[in-house]
Amino acid sequence: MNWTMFVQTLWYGVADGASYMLVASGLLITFGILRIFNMGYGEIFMLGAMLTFTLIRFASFPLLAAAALAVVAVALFGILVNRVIVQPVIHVHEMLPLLSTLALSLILLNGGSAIWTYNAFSLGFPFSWMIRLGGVTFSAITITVVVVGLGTVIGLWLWLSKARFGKAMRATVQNITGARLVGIDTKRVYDVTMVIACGLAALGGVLSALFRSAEISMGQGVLVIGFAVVIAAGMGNLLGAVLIALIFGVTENLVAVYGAPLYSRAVLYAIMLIILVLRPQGLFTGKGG
Amino acid sequence: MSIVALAFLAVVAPFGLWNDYLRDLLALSMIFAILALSLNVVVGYMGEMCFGHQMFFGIGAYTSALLSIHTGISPWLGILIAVAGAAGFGFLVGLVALRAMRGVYLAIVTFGLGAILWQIVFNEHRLTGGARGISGISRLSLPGVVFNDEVSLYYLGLVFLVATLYFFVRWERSRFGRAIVAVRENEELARSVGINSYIYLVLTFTIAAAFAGLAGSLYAHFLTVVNPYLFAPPYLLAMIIMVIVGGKGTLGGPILGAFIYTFGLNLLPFSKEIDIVVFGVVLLALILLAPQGAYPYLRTLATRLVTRASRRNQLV
Repeated sequence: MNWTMFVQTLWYGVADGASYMLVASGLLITFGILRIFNMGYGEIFMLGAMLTFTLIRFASFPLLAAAALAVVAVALFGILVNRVIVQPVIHVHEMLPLLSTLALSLILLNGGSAIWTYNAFSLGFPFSWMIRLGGVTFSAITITVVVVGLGTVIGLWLWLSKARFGKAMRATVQNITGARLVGIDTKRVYDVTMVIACGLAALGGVLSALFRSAEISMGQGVLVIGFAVVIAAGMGNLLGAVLIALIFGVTENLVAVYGAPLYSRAVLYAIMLIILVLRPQGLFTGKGG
Repeated sequence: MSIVALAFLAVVAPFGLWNDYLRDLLALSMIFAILALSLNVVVGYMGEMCFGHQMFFGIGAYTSALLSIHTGISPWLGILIAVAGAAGFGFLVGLVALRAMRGVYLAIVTFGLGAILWQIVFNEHRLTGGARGISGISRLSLPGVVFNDEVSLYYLGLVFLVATLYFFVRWERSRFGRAIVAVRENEELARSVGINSYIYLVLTFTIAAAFAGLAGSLYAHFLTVVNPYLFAPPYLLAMIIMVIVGGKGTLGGPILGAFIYTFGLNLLPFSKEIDIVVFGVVLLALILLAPQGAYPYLRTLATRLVTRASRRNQLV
């Protein structure tokens, strides 16, 4: 057993897990508050990465500025998604938001591939230092990805539990009528939810593009992984989702190195299916149903 | 009256088109109409969403392809086996998935399952031919005819489509069909009058899978090549577009949708990506503005035209 390689693989798994947990948190709050699964979420993730790439390549932005601008732009795009694609159909039938966001995915994916082609692009990274511990390399990129990912999720968690608007959001999850009665503007909660969710996906896309690469198809698999994490953790469990995202990232990398590289993601989907069939309420939820 | 007109139109259709390419598309529309009708069973009649329906299409296509390449059995028997294979897989999926979940969960489960199967077919190239797929699949033939040109394929497809349609018309009116609509409208109530909703849902899902398998099998014999992209998300999106744009829950809607999609995608003057964007926008617009699809409108329009025409005849 080569322990250096094993630990290195674990670390890469954590780096992949960092972007998965952003995606999963975004899906989780979208489902928690709007009660919808956003099928276009993978393309929102992709958009964050591709916009960052475009700003760097064609407008010569530095990485940080490009990433910040892209994340903010995609986050604001969330308002448009909410008002145009989700709200008009959300109370008509539960299937319609699923379909309307699927149409969004179709438009963004194909429109995007007409612009950006199917090539993989590198965002580049200004730092090349690394920390070596007993043969295991912790590069500046992977450390940045993990720190930013974890920091964002912790920030989100603190905001949801401490900030006034975060509390309003949680109140909306628990009881929408009650929330309205105590004067919470639930329409605004919906907007803010989509802004945060889209921002999280865009940031996840940037992190994934830093560590892997930016390409048009990057959102497709991530969407299923995001669902898998949310389902495995159970709805409404942010910290559980973070943990599962890391486990999934690590599992994917371990399977890729030690098992079947072609099936590293299929294994995650299979785990999701098994959990859904055996424990539909998720692993970290006590109650049934 | 309108049925006679439609039948006449269906029979003369290939001669109304001016080139082989359009006739090719016409034959393909027959297959896609069967496919759309099969997804419509899940979306329209069960009121559920299957985001993995392309699996059954792909299984039908690959079963026929593999049987045709590796065994000497008649392709007609191959179609039967392919349909049985797709139905069997659909039965298993339904048995496990429908026990625990409905709605968005069922959609996500079938989506995940589709993603797994797509990777398997793509990667297991010794069995499936990998990215290149399988070519040299035999043509269907009857004594005296080989179905190898656009016109004969169209008529063969038409026969299968009419048979499928006949099945669904009968099914819709049968005890079974009415039971499943009752389950869709109010499952509690349906159960209280003694309908075992689980069994009905599983069997309905199986029927949907079987017809998707039939479409896949026909696709393999019509085109004589299959590739793993039959299992990929674009096919799923294609059939969702057909059902939703055409109109779910009716029998005419998915058929109309299949025509709109097949001809639209191939005749729009843009690049393939932009064509699909156009369809995405149409799909979105219909979901937001007219979730019942284009068919009801077309039907109203047709009825109005017929009434006006007959009124004019009376005047003369």
